[in-house]
Amino acid sequence: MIRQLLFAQPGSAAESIRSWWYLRLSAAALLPLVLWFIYDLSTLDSLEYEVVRDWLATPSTAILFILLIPVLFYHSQSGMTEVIEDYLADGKQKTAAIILVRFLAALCAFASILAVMLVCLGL
Amino acid sequence: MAQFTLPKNSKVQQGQTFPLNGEVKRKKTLQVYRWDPDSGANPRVDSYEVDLDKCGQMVLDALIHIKNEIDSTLTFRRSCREGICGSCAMNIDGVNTLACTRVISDIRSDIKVYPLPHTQVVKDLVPDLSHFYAQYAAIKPWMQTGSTPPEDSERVQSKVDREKLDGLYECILCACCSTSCPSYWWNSDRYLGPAILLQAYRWIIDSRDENTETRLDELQDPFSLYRCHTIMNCTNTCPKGLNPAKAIAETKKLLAKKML
Repeated sequence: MIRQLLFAQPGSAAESIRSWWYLRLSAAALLPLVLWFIYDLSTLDSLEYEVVRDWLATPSTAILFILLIPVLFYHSQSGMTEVIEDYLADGKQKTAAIILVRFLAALCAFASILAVMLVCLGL
Repeated sequence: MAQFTLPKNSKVQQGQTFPLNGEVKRKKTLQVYRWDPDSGANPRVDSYEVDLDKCGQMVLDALIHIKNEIDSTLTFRRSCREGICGSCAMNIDGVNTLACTRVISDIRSDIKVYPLPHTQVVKDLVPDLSHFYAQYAAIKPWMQTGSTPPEDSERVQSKVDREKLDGLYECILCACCSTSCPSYWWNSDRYLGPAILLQAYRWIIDSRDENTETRLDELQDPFSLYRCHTIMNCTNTCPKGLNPAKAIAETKKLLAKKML
């Protein structure tokens, strides 16, 4: 069953449960991560570039931030997919829109993680 | 693509006014949606002034008064007049409810009466519920068993199991909840909607039914159940005070447990 959840075919019965379940799991994971992000950012003396860069370069911040990014983009694309499934009729337009949203989310997540790692490593 | 513009001849126009003659102590105006498929004309809203001392206290009483005394062409469904049959479900003062249980004095302004939203209109306040009933039939709303029943008695149920049906068996299938649901508006061809999902859960949770697994399996696709986004219009509008959103959530929980 776990295998079905992880590798469900698009449009299949298992995929519908997986989408619903993962949307809630990602929402639950986002709650502490976003609260941490807001709280930690608010404790900074200023939001100047150098200050934020130094904050991001600390290992604990970088690790939590790298955790936050994929969950955030997964949750966003999951929500957008729901909207597309609600409002677009089946067809090429719908498939293209879902692929585009998922591709953009993956691209943004990858670029964000890379950026955090570069800052953390001082490159 | 979703259709965001209205089809031709959909624009609702101002219709006739039927004023009361003479002095009236307690007067109320009902603005009623009218559409006659045979006329080919656009729908209109007619205004009827009603003497509240000459009719009962419910909106249905006022509609019956209009039909009997003012305009016999007004068409609407009604039967039991006590909130049991669900025939007089319509949109009153912006809320889907039963005309027979909606009290006139609770509405301060003119009473706007429209058919259930996002349904094909047969005439005036009569919606076409054929698809809704077909969806109900699709969930097989009867007890399904494979075992042989006891020889000397009916299939018994404990008090605890019977209590699980409370809040479910009271549904009268008036369609107020389903037609208030935006997900049902956009995807009623494949999404079952709150009323039918509540009925599905009523059979899933019944301890005497022996087809629970199949019933759950039949809801496992991206549309039948999962178009519900917990908007809660269904629970807000239910004239019987039921909670279809909870029934849907419980069904989702059962499916999630089944998968894990």
